[in-house]
Amino acid sequence: MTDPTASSRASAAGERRDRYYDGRSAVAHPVRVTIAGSKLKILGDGGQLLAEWPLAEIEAVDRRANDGAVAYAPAGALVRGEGARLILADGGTRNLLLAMRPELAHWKRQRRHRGLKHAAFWVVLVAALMALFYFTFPWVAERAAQAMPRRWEMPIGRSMREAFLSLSPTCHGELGIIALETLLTRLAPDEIEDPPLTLDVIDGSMVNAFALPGNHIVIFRGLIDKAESGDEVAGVLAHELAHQDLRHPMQGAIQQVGLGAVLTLALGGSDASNIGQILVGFTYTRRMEAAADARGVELLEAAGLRADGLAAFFRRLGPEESGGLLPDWLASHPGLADRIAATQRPATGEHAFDAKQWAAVKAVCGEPRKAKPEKSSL
Amino acid sequence: MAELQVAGGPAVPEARTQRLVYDGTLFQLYEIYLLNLVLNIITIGIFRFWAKTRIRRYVWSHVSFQGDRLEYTGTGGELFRGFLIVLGCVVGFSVLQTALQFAAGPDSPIAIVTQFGFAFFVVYLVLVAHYTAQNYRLTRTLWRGVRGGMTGSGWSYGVKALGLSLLLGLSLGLAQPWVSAKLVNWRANASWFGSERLRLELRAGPLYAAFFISVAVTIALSAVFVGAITGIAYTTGWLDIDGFLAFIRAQAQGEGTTPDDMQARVIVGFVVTAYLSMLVGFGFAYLLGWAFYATTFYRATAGAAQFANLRFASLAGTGALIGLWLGNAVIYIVTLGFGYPILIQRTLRFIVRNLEIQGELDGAALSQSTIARPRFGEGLLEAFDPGMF
Repeated sequence: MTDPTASSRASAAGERRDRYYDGRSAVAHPVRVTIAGSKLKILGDGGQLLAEWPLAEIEAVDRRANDGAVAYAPAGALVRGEGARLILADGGTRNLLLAMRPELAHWKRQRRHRGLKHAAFWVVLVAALMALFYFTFPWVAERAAQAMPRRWEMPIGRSMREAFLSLSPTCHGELGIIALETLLTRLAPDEIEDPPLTLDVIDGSMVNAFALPGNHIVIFRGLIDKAESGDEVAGVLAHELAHQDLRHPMQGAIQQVGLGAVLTLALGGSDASNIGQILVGFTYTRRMEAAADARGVELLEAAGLRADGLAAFFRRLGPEESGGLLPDWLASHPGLADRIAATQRPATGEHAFDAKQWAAVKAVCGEPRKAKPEKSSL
Repeated sequence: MAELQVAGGPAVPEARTQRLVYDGTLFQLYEIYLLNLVLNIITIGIFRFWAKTRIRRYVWSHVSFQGDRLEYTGTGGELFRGFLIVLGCVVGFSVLQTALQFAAGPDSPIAIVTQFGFAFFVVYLVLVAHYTAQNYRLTRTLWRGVRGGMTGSGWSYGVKALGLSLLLGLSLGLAQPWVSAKLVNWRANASWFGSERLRLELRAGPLYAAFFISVAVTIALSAVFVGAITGIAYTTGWLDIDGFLAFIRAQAQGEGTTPDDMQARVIVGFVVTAYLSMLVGFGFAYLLGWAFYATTFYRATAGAAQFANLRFASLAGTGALIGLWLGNAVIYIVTLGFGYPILIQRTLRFIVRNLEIQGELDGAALSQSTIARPRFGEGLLEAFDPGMF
């Protein structure tokens, strides 16, 4: 500061050396600093006292990477958003301050760690909230689905059923439909009679069946082609009925909507959220499938029918399924071996269909076709 | 010492026009950016609020005006809390809407009304966000210890802006210059730095010639580019229109539910060509066609603005702006997004080079702002429009 050429050079480059802003008006005071006891005195050009800061409470605000100048603020100025700043160039009077408060030389490390600590706190908090959500939301969705009158499912169920039916033509072999509906009525527990149960057979080669909200059940021709006895079809129908009985379609709908909304927003709609949603969705389905298997077998037994059809059908799927791409823990349905073991029942009880009925079911979409090997996801 | 004694006065007395100075370096920006990237990945994106703050701190403190640097005083926590509030609002509204839909059915008028209501709600929040984000940044920007702020209310600005947006739709976009001039005027005239208010009297009339030229050029270039892309695709056999139409017809008649390999190739060709024409064709047509209107808009805005005794001029030419946009687009695509710090450098250099400031600001006459500092960050904008910084 005592060398006039140095200061004029700094000025021409657009930078002064040691400066003080008082936070009241936009003036850059050229200053020098001295230390008196526990105070830092900021003196103007004429030696007048501009400010006095307690040494112990001075904070480093910023360190410029290009010229090494550091900006300091008095105690609490940052928290209150005040603008009082002292900017000290490298060396010179700054060494006076650093002799008393050596840690003020390391703005970067201090500030960065403080930011990281805050960030880490929020990350842990958000992770904890998400974990809480992850574990409680299925429970909440289940209770909500149980508490909801079945009739409330009708609007959403109707539109989902229409979406399914628009995919492919349906089958209307009269005797076959009657046989299937008779079986369904025999299996269905009383509480799911309202809204009325419906069954649609879709003329598609997929080996699959679905339970939709609103007591709608959809079964694909491929599944009937694949089955070798009426009891296997009955096992699958009982499984779908069990989904209805346990209110799974509604629970699934609530979970998908809720999770989709939260994850998309939390992660800013990135691709990561979709993956998260699928993973979460899969685990719910696994648990629900196992419950539906058990309940389905119960329904068959309560109706006095042979209850080994589901296990037999799973066994038929076996060889193709084992070559699947997804490992068991990822796949939407519990491992086949586990499911076969869980649904194993003695071959006692009545057959679901007599020979005539079974022939009619096989021909529900016209001439019975030979089963083709198809991927399934029952 | 002579210059230093007139502290607050002109730093370079002989110059009547001046510029901002930006002296950030690409290397230092990358140091910040790469650590941000790592922490973003570790925290599945939640660090992005602190990341943005780190970048802003760097950029602000490397911009100087009349010899003094800006300082950014915002924090990542403020941005994050703002985001959480918006998240709460939107989740609350969407849960309400979903519940109503479940109860009333998808075809009932209530469901349709709430669905429209939700769309309006989101658009409204974005418009409010333009205001509150500007307010947040102004209150978090210090120059010589003095900060800025905005008076007026973001909520009422949102209502007015929503009305103008509807008008814009009704005019089929023809009101665009008028609407954007209105919005910019409202926001600018509510903006203060210290004890001084920014004054802007941007008039839409002189923008219209450039607007129509830019629209015409954009449409013409779109036709040329899309035509060229589809033409090349067609002659090289990538695009098989007849095959695609035949497939559509077969689908409509309910034949052949699953496409065979040949049909799959036809569909992929069609989709890729359509995607390329949209992205590259329209994208580049927009970059080239719109730059003329944009530079006219910048020039008119700078010329109509006044802050204390400062006047402004934009020197940005159409060619230079196309160079900036095109270069940024190409760098971003080629580097798969990792060129982001280069984009920041280029954009700031462009602003510094093309924004001329006439006059000297008398710092002694500019006292501290009395506008309240909002406690939350620009959560509204953050949620819907990430923006550059």
